[in-house]
Amino acid sequence: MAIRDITLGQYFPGESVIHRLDPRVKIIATLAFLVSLFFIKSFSFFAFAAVCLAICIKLSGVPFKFMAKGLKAIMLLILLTMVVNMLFTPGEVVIFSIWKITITKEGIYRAFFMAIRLVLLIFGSSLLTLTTKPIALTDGLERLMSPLSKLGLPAHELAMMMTIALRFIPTLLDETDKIMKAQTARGADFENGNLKEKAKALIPLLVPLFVSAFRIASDLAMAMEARCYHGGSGRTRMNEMKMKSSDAWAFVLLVVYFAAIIVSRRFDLF
Amino acid sequence: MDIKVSNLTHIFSQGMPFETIALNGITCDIKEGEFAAIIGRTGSGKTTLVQHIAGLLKPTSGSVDADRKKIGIVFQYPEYQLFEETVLKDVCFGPKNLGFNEEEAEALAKDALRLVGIDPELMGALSPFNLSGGEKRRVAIAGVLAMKPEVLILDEPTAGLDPKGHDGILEMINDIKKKKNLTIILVSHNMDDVEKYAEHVLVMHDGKLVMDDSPKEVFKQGEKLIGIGLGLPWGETIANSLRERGKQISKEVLSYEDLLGALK
Repeated sequence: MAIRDITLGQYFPGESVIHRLDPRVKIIATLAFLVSLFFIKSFSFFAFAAVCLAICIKLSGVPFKFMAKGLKAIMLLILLTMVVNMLFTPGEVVIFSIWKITITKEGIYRAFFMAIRLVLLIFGSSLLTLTTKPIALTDGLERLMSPLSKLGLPAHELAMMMTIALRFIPTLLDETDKIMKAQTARGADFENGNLKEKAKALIPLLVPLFVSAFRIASDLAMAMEARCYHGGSGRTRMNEMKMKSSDAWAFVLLVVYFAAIIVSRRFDLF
Repeated sequence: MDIKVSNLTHIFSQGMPFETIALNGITCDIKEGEFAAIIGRTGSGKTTLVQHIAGLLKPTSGSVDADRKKIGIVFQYPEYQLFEETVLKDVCFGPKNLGFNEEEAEALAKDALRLVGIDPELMGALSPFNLSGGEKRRVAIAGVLAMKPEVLILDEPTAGLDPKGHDGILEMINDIKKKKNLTIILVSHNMDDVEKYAEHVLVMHDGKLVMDDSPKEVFKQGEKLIGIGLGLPWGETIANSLRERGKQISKEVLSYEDLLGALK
């Protein structure tokens, strides 16, 4: 098992225009893009959204192959969605019918519609995580949520928890890899056997992993306290986020894109 | 059993931007019954190499010729692999996985515990999490020894121990090697340990094997070792300093004992 190869939420180092955009702009743009996908009614505007996204991916310099890797993990989900939609969408134009299974033109239309939407959702959101350092991402979220802290939302604490969680994903993966190898060397078998045996085989992995996680967490808490961390109030930051002209342009383009999508709903396109 | 590594290459995350060549065309032999040491800086590929020898990683290219079932490997900080309720049960884990029944596994575990200097009658029923750091490490090593390996790989077995614990573990390993006629592969960056125990030294640098010789020959090339970020045994370092200051030391000096002998 190659734990190292998990790309979910991974950052792809680069210096592109997209990488340099303010994380707040990127978060808002991504959210807007995801929402826009639910406003689209026609295939032609899916094509439009896909082209816009493709331009952004091209600009970001992240190889398409690398992005497609993330898709592999949810291929099953996409296929399942397609099958379910194809089978259970009621419609008038029957294309194919055998026993109780009927496939209609509407069903096929819907199946592809959903699949395209899912793929675009994945690509859109992974572009955000691929081009934004996790720390910048949570900083951006904190700033975006900070108006809500007046209403009692612990914006800083939430962002800090996310930062720590993201920071420790690779650490825990490394730890898992190490313990797995150590137990494999002692003859543990994580791959074969039925469900019950497999679950039992996880004990020698999970117990040491939990022990490690608690040790790491308590070390971290101690280190933070030793540096006088006491929550968000009055805390300054090393890298202040500043909007640049490129951020303003990105915003303008985003508004144009969103307007186009909204307008498209008024027309009946394929 | 001899171990033959031929033209072994391992690349992590091949084709990705994080691609790293961990091992680059390693060829070496480790003979049966030998005490071999692999030295090199952090990140030089020592751990990746021994994981290949133990059959835990698949090479990108090249091969390792060895019977994996007869190789035991003790990882860095092996105490983090302990998980059972009692010391004895934890040491039984390996033999049970090999297919031994409860009694056989227990007998093997007790033998292994005695080998590492832990009394199974006294401590076998304790939780491994309540032991001291040094004891945990001994128990973890016993967990590997209980599987009766012919080759024992130890990846920095003394990391994080105090000087007494450090010497204790190495002396113990050396004793077990003699008693059971094991082949030992020790990963280390402590030159004094290597000088004291090893019969064969492999020096790794940036994923390549740069020296493969007896300790005597390796430590003769002091400048090369220092150039790749390693050191020399203290005896030799002090002898070199004395020579620079005009003291005549003609004999070859590696350890403290050599130095004392030469200065008499």
